[in-house]
Amino acid sequence: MIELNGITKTYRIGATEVQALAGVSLSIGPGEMVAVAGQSGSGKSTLMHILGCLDRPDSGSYVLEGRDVSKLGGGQLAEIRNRRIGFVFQSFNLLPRLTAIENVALPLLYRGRSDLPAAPGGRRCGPKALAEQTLDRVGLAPRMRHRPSQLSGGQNQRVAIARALITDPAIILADEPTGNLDTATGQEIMRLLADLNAEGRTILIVTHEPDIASQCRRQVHLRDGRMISC
Amino acid sequence: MLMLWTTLKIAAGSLWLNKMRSLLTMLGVIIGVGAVIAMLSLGTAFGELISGQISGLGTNVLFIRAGQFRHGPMSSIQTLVPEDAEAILNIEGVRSVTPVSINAGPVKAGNKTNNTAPVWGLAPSLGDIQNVQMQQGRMFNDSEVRRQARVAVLGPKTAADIFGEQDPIGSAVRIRNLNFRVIGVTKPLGDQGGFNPDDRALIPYTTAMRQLPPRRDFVQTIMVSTFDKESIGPVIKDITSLLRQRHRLRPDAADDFAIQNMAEILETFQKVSFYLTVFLGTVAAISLIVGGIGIMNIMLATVAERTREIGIRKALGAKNGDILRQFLIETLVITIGGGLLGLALGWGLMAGTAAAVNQWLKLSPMLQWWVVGMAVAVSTAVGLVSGIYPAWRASRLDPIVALRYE
Repeated sequence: MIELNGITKTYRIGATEVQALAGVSLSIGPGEMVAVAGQSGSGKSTLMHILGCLDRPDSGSYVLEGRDVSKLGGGQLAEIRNRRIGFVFQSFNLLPRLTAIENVALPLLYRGRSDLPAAPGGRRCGPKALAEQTLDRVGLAPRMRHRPSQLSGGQNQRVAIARALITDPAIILADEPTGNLDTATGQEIMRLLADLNAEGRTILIVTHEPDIASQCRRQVHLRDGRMISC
Repeated sequence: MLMLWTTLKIAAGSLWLNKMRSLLTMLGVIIGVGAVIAMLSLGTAFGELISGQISGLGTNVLFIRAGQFRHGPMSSIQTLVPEDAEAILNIEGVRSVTPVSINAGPVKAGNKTNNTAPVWGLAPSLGDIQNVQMQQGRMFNDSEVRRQARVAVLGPKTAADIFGEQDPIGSAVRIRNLNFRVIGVTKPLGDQGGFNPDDRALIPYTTAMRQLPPRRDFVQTIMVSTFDKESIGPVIKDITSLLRQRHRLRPDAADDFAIQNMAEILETFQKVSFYLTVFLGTVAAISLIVGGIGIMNIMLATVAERTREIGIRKALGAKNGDILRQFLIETLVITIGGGLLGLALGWGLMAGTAAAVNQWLKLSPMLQWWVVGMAVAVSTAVGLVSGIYPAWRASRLDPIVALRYE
C-alpha cells in the first residue's frame, strides 16, 4: 500500500542546511496500524508531510497504492490528499466559524457533486447526509450544529477524525492526535482509532509519546532522519 | 470543483462576522460608485436641460441680429428691416422667416398686472420656427399683420397671471396703454430656466413696430428656420451676401449683422456638458481607485490572518485554483455589495440634488440602465483588480508553512 524507498529531504533554514530525512525506506501494508515515534527533530514531521502528499521528497520514491506520487504536480497531489488521505492533527485544525457538520463536509467541497463517496451502506447521498452519518460514526451526531469553540478537546478531535473519514481514504495520518488532550480523553481517541483500524483502515500515528506508540501493533523509530527500528 | 453557493455563503459569513470592517472596506466602493452615478446622472440631466432650452428655441434655427457684437450698442443700427426677412424667404433651403421686435411689458387686464412677460412682435410663421401650438383660440394671421391689428396671443402663464380661471379669449389686455384683444393662448412648453416660453405676449410685428413706443422701421432680430441641418451652412452664406447687397455694404466694410446658428450653439453646449460630465465622473472615479487600494490592503490582511485556514483547506485537498477563487469571490462580494449600496447612495444623491436645486434648475435626472450596468461592471472590475493579488498570494501559500502558522 505504501512503499517508501530511499527518501531524503533537506531544508534550508537561513544559511544552514538541515537534513530532515536521510534515506528512509518503509513499507506499510493495508490494514496496518503503525506508530512513527521519535524525538522532536528526528524527522517524523517531515516524513508525515511527505506521506501526506503535502511535500515532495528530494530523492527516493513514494509509491502509494501502486502509483509513484513523488514526482506529481501540486494539483495532482491536492487530489490525492482529497481522495486517498485523511489527516488528523494535534491541534484539530477545524475551521472555527463552521459548525461540526460543515467542518466534516469540508473535504467534499473540493470535488464534484457527482463524485461523492458512497455512504457506509453503499447508498449514495448528499454531502450533508454523508457528514451526518460520519459524525454519527464517531458518536457526535447530537452535536453537529456546534462550533469548535462549543465543543471539548476530545469532541473536536472526534470531529476532525470524522472529517478525515468522510472521503473514505486509503490511509489516515494522525500527527500527535492526543498531544492536546488529557490522558483519559487521549485514550478514548486511541480507542476510536483502534476501532477504525479493526474495520480494516490503515492508520499511521506520529507521536513522541512511547505510551501512545506502544498501543500500535507496529512501531517505527526515527532518529536524525534515519530509521533505527522497523 | 468549488461549489459557488457554498463559497458565497462562506464569504458572506466571514463578512458578517466582521460587520464593521466589512462596512468600512465597502465604504470606498460605496462612495465611489455613488459619486460616479450622481455625477453622471446629474451631468447628463444638466446637458439635456440645456439642449432642451436651446432646441425649445427651435432646431435648425438661425438668429440674425442687427449690428455686430464688437461695434457699438446694437440698437443704434437700424439697417435690419422686415423687407430683409421677406427677401430671405426666397433663399433656397429656407423654410420660414419672421422678424422679431421685442418690447417690454407690463401686460395688464383690469387691476391685474404681469410684469415679467416680454412682448414679442412676430409674423405668424413663428409657429413653424419654434414649436408653438395653440391651447385655445388661434394665432394671428397675415392680414392682421398687414393691417397692424391690435390682437395678442398669450403664453399660458401670462394668461393665468392676469385672467386667473376666467376665459381670456375675446377679453382685452393693455400693453403700454394700448388695448389688445386676446385671440389665443399657447400650449405650455414648460419653464426652461432663464427663458420661459409660457410667459410672453405675442403680437403682430407691424403693430409692435408702428404702434408701441418707440415707433420704428427696423427690427433687432430676424429668425430663420431651414428645412434641414445640411442646408444651414449654404443658407448662412446666402443670407450674408443677400444682406450685404441689400444694406449696400462696400466689400471692405464689416457686416452690420451677425448670424447665430442655434444648431452650432447647441452642439457646443452639448460638447461642453459632455466634457463636464466626463470630468466630474473622472474625479469621482478617483475615489473608486482609492477604494480599490483600500480593499486590496484589507484582503492582504485577511489572507495573512487566515493563513492557517488556507493550510487546512489545502491539506483537505483544495487546489491553488480553489483558494484563489475563494478569496476572489470574497473580494467580489465586498465590491459588488458596495457597488449596489453605492447605486442606492448615488440615486439618493441624484434625487436629493435635483430636489435641492429645483427652484432654479428644473433637472429631471433618471437612473438609466447603462448607469446601473456600469455600477455593477465597475465594482466587479475593482473587485477583480484589487482581489486578484491577495487571492494569488493566498493560493501560493505552502500548506506546511500555513499549517504551522499561529
